[in-house]
Amino acid sequence: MSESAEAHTLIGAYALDALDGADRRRAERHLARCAACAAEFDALSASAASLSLSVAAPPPAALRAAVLAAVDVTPQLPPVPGRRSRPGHAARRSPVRTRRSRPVLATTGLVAVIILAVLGGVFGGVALDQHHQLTQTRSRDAELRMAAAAAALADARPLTGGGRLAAVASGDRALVVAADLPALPRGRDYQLWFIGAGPAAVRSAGVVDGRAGRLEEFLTVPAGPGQLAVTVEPAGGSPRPTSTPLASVPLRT
Amino acid sequence: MPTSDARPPSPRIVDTSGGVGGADGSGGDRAGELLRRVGRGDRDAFADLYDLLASRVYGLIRRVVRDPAQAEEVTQEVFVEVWRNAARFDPGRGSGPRWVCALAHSRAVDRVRSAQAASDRERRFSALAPRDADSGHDLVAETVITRLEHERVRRCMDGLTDRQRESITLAYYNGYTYREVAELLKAPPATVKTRMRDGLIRLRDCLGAGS
Repeated sequence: MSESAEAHTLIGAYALDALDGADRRRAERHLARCAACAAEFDALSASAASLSLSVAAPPPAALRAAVLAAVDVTPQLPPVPGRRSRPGHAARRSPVRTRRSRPVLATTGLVAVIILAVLGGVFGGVALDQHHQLTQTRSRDAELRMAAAAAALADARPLTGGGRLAAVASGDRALVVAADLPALPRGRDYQLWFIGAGPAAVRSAGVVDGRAGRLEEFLTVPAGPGQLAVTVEPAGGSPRPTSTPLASVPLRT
Repeated sequence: MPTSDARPPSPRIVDTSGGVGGADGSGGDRAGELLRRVGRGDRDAFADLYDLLASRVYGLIRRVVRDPAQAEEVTQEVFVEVWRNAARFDPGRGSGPRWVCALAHSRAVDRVRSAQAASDRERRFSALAPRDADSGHDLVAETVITRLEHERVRRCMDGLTDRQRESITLAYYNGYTYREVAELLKAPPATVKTRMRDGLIRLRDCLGAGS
C-alpha cells in the first residue's frame, strides 16, 4: 500500500478521535493534501457526532448558570480569515494548555507571587456579594491557579512508575501539584504525607483518588523544615505510610 | 446575566432532534443559526444554544470520562470554548451540533488520555474488556431526550457488523486509540482501522437514508 493509501484508511479512526502522535499527524497531512478525503472526513465525522445522541443526558441544573457566568468574563476570538476550522481538531491546541513552559525566571519566587495573588483572590473574593464580580474573581482565580500549577510543575520531581509531583510553600500554605499520575488498580489510592524532622513527625496530608490523575491543592503545612511525600495506600488511606514513597519534594529547607 | 437564569427550562430541548438531520449537515440547523449569532457576541443566543445542546454534550462527555464531576468540568470548558471560537464556526464544513459535539468529544478524549499514563493502559484494558463486550446495550442511556433520533442511531448501529460496532464503540465512547482497540480485541491494527472506516461509512449511509 502506498503511504497515501495507507494514510487514507486512517480517516475513520481520525473521525473517531482514535489517533494520536504520528498517526494523527499522518492523517492531518493527508487531509490537507486531498480535497476529496477532507470531504469524506467531514461526512464520517458527522456520523461519529450522531453517536452522541444515544448517550444524551441532561447535566446538573447548576451547570447552566456556571457556564453562562464563565462566558460573561470570556472574550471572544475574531474569525480567522481564509482559514477554515475543522471542528474539534482545529481548536485542539490552544496556547493555554501548553504543558512545557521553560522556567526562565526564578520559579520559586514567581510561584510565591502567584500563590499570594491566588490566596488574595480567594479570600478577597468571598466578601463580594455581586454575582458578576464574584464570577470574575472566580474566573481569575482559576486562571491564577492554572498559572501557579504550571509554574510549580516546572520544578516537579518524577514519581517512580510515572507522574510528577511539585510543592511550593509560602508561609504556612503550600500549593501541591501532581500531574499525569498513573491510574491505580481498584482498592488503591495515592496518599500525601508531611515529613518533618524527627521520626515521629510523619502525618497524612491527604488522600488522592487512585484514578484522579492529577491534583492541584492548597494545603496548610506544619511549621519548620519538611518534605512532602507520596505513597500508594489501600483505598481511603492509611494512618502511617505502608509503602515506599514514589517521590518526595522539599516544602521548606 | 441574572435574567437568563429565570428562563423556563425550554421545551426547545426537543429541538435537539435537529440532531441527526442537523448532524450530517442537511437542513434545519438551528444550532448553526445560533452559533452564527453567538459569533457576533449574542449572549441570549448562547443561552439558547446551551439549552439545545447541553444534554448531548454533557451525556457524551460523561460517557467518555465516566466521572460526573469531571464531566461537568469538561462540559463547561467546551461551552466556554464554543463561545470563544463561535466566530470561527464554518457552516460549510458541517452543522452546528456536529461542530460542538466534535469539540466535546475531542476534549473528553484528551481528558481521559491525559489522566492515565501509558503504563496503566494494559491494566485498564483487562478491567474494561468484559463489560464492554456487550457494547450495543451499554450505550443506551436512561435519560434520552431525542428518543426518535436515538432510536434511529441505534437502529443504524445495529446494522453494523459486530466487529465494526465493537471497534467504533471502544474508540468513540471509551476514548481508546485504534491501536489500543486492536490490542484489546487482539486484532491487527490495519484491520481495526478498516472496520472503523467501513462502519462509519455504513452508519453515514443508514442515517442519510432515513432523513
